[in-house]
Amino acid sequence: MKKKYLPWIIGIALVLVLAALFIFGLWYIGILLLLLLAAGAVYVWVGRNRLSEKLLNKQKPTSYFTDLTGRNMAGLVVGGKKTWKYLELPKSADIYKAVTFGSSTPMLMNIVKTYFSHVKKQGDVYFVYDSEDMMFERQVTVEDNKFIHPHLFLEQKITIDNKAYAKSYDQDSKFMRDLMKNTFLKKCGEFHGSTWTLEEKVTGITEKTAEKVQALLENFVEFCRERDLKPHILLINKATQVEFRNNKLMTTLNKKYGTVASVIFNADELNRTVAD
Amino acid sequence: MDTVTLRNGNTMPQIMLGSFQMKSQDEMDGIVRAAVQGGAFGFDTSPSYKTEEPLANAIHSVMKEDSTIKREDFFLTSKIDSWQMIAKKGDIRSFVDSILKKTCLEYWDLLLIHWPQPENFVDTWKCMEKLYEEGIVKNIGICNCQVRQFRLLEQNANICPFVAQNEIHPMNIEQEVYEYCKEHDIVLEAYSPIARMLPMVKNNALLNILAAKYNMSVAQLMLKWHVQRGLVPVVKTSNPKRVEENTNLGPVVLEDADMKAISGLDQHFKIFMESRCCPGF
Repeated sequence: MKKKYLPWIIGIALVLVLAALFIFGLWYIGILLLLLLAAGAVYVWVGRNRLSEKLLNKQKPTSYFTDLTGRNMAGLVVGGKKTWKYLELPKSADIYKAVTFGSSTPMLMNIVKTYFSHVKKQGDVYFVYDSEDMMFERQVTVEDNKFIHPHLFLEQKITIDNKAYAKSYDQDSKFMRDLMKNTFLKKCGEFHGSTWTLEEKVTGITEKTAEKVQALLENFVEFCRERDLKPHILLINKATQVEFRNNKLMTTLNKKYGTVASVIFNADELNRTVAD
Repeated sequence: MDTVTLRNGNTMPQIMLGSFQMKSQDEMDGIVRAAVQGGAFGFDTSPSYKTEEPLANAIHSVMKEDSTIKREDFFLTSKIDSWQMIAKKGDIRSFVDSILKKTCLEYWDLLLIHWPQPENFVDTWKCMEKLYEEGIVKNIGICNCQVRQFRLLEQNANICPFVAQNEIHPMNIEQEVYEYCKEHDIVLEAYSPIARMLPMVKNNALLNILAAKYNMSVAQLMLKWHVQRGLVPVVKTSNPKRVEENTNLGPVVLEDADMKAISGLDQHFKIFMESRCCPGF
């Protein structure tokens, strides 16, 4: 069956269901069901369409390049889950947000590489690093390909397992639930003053990974400076052992590059640091 | 059509015609015919535009129809795209050979690196130097580069680019690159020279006042501004009637004060953002 007929088939099925319920005198239940089914159909249809995009082609669609918003912005902030959840900036902050729902540290560097042109000369670039949230080695997903230029993957010889990661966010019920909850809570000001202590289980990272992280952050600082941008590294503190590691990392980076790194303990600090 | 002379003595047309987003062979045929009739022989293409073959077909048709028109009358520019640079780690000769064979064109008048893909930029340039020395391409150059990329070639290459092509229009005048090119005798081409007539230029008060003053359209005014700055605009239209308007700017000379006023509109606004098109740029 051709996919293009799917909306027609769903539509006809809905009409038939409605007619059947009407015939049996269940009009009110019919309307309710109809609304639910229509919402479901839209949800599936939107998700399916997004999936049908050719995400892995070598050329991005023209619209990707000609997005005319966000020029000469004061700053750019990249970060993973925590940043996605807690970052809440006023429009006047003039910051381009490229935050993701879960990402590896190297992928954040790829995001910096892809979005830094949105920032004006001498603008600020914030790299929010959460050692507990971001794995260093993580397989790239189809989702990553939505906001990172495929040439980076080609260049880095990263292949994407389409089948394993074929699910888009809007088909992930947990993500959609979190998104709605998060938006609502943000609006209520729920996150003001949130701390992250013991929010998640703390897992240790090896010395080798710590070295890789440091090398990547150093690369970030040099990358920004070469392009007349001001780098800032925000290290998220949660539990004691993370704090110890972050402090060590902060000291090393600041000794080498001047004040580029700082530690943050809660959502307010994150928002204040970026907005200021 | 006036020409500009490159550092190696070769010449190129003062105004080039672009082919980005040109959709069909018919459209290409119409534009090429209109251009040739109006005396414009410079065309710009790229593998990513997918217009190399349609352009070549249109040119072969024109030459077939009028035997007085020769290949040498045309100035054809193509490019090397990032994915080609990555795929061959800079050794892009096979792509050039293959497209020249496919299009029966024998040579490109100008071959440009489309984006300075960081990992393979210098190696690609070195390969292009060889193609230039062998005469497979008559001139070589780069696109979308900032001064730091020019300096990288200065340090690592034997031949300085003859041509550079950047997005330049009154909203993004690229002063640093402009000055670098002037200093190093590099001809600077401007793509999106009329900023796609976005509302910010179309409705700009100054541009409209000046266009009325010189009795020309806003697009012509901007093209004239480029030409007087010594740039080669690469202008694209899908409408054959506009070809004449874009390539025949007449003898009008913009006053210095007006030239400066137009340059003063600069707000570093780019339609094509480098890092979005060429990550790590």
